[in-house]
Amino acid sequence: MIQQNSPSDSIWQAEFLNLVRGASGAFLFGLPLLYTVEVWLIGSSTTPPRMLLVLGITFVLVYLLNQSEGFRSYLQIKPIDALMETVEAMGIGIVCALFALVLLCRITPDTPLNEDLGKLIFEGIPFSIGVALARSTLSSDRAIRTVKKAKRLPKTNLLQSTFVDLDATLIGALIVAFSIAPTDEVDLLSASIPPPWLLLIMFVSLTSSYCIVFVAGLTNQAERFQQRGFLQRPINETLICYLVCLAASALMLWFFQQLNWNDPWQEWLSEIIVLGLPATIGGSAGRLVI
Amino acid sequence: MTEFQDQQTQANDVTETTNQRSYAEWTTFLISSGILLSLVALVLYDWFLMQQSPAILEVEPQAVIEINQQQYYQPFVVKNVGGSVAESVQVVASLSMGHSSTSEVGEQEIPFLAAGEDKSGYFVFSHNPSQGELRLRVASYR
Repeated sequence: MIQQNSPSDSIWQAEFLNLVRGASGAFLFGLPLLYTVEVWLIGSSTTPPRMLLVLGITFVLVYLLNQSEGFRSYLQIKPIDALMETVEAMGIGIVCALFALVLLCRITPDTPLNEDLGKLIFEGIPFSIGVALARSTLSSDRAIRTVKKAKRLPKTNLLQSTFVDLDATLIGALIVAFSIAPTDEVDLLSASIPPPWLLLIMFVSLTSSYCIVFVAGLTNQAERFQQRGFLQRPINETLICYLVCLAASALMLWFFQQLNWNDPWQEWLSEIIVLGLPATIGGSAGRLVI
Repeated sequence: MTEFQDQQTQANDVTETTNQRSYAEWTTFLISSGILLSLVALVLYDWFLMQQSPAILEVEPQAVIEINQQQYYQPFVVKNVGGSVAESVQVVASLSMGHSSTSEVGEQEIPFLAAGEDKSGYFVFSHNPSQGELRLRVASYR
């Protein structure tokens, strides 16, 4: 017996999906800048008046984006709605940025307040913009209008459809990992993150991947639910694609000589997991877009 | 089609056809407003209530000296007790061993020290610092 949802449940369900969609967009857009040591330093050395100025500029930017984009599925909105959605986008962006900064141990209980605020506000800029772009940048409508898609392989062939997904994941993960692996940030982060914390990063990587592909309501997600086959089950796909992203991270770290065979296995493990977080986000985006 | 997807489609339909804000959306707006206002309030608190003084740097040796492979590890903590940020903080340690002419010097650079922040590190000597005269000082910052 299938339980029918009440209108009240539907409203909360819709709002939850909106929030997940906004948060997914935030992580997609904000994570690369999170792995940039200069942003941490700029944020840490910023004076309070400049922080307020940066917040104000971000607010205006997100408001302008919300007039045509936004994270909700409304297509026709009033100016006051865009204003309210801007407040919401900034709120979601700041919460996501705070979560990511704590996850990567850039904000700890020992960090001074002014440093916390500076990092949060500067990292909050790309996260808030990501929320404002969540619906449009990855929506299937937009993709059909602007990109002529290659003919998809028939999904009846289990092996072919599996390779399509793995290929898309690998391409997305490699694009993101390629841009982050040669920097010092991965080494710096993995050195400062305690080993048990790595489990949390793995959990967040898997959860965010699942949310972006199967929950956020972006692009061909409805089509993905209908696909059948070993890899097309959401949990299987999420797990196997995560392994592919970890492999892509390891390859990129080795490619840029950040890791070599003489390094201890603990260093390999921590650096691969740390780089695996943005690579997984890239892999998830790859599966939606490619 | 799974039950979850059914719910999702139903949920999306609600947002696409509703012109009035639902109470769930109002809840999101109120919580977001609270987050944004709290952030602004914290920045203002940091601006107005915290004393905006220049960087004041203090460095102190820690009592416990660890001995590993015939070497003495002298821990230290450098703290910025001022109100401004200090970059490239250079900490210098010199160890003189009593009447003998033996002396050792070490230096470290801390890239960044925010107001109120402290960082720790080690100087490594080949003589026991507790048996000689140890001097720690901040040589420079910018």
